[in-house]
Amino acid sequence: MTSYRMIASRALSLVGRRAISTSVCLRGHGVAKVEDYALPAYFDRRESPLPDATFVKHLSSEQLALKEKEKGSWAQMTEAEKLALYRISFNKSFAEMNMGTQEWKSVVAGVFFFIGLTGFVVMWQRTFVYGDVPPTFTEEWIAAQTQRMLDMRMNPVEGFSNKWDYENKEWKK
Amino acid sequence: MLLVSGILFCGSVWTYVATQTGITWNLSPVGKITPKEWKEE
Repeated sequence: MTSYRMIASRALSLVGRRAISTSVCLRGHGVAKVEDYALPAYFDRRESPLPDATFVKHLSSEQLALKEKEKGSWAQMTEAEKLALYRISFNKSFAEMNMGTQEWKSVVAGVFFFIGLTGFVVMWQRTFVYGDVPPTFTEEWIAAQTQRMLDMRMNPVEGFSNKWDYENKEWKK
Repeated sequence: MLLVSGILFCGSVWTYVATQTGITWNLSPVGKITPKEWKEE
């Protein structure tokens, strides 16, 4: 036997021993409780029409009786009974699950509300952060500035001076 | 209802900010300002 084969068989026997001892540990404590969320779940989804579980899990005595009747001829069941059977298996019908909600209204309302709040932020900033408005924004300064811009023929093709009627000395209509 | 009040709240706050706070918006003088002589003689 080469040295490699000896090492390999030693390693394998070690693994075997560990595997046996772990399973003994598990059997010692028993099986864990299966939680609800680990079981197949019910869901209403258009693209997957048959969920993994029924909607109603614990049937009342009436429902149990109905289930017994279901084993017989369906032609002898009333419409109400068939509907009750449907509602045992399913929560919403396709029409119900596809219905839109009014949720968008509250979302948009929230959007506008917070934009409104930022208005208050700006108000505070105007009072406590902004400096004085420079004199270059007073009406007389702007008037003089405008005349000078027109004298210079600023943007005469499509822009500023283009909007001024030089013949009649007024803004173009 | 919530939607209407949200829009009204936002609208009223911002119209106040736009008009009453003294913020300079620097709107275009075109159509608004009558030009005035600027050359000092």
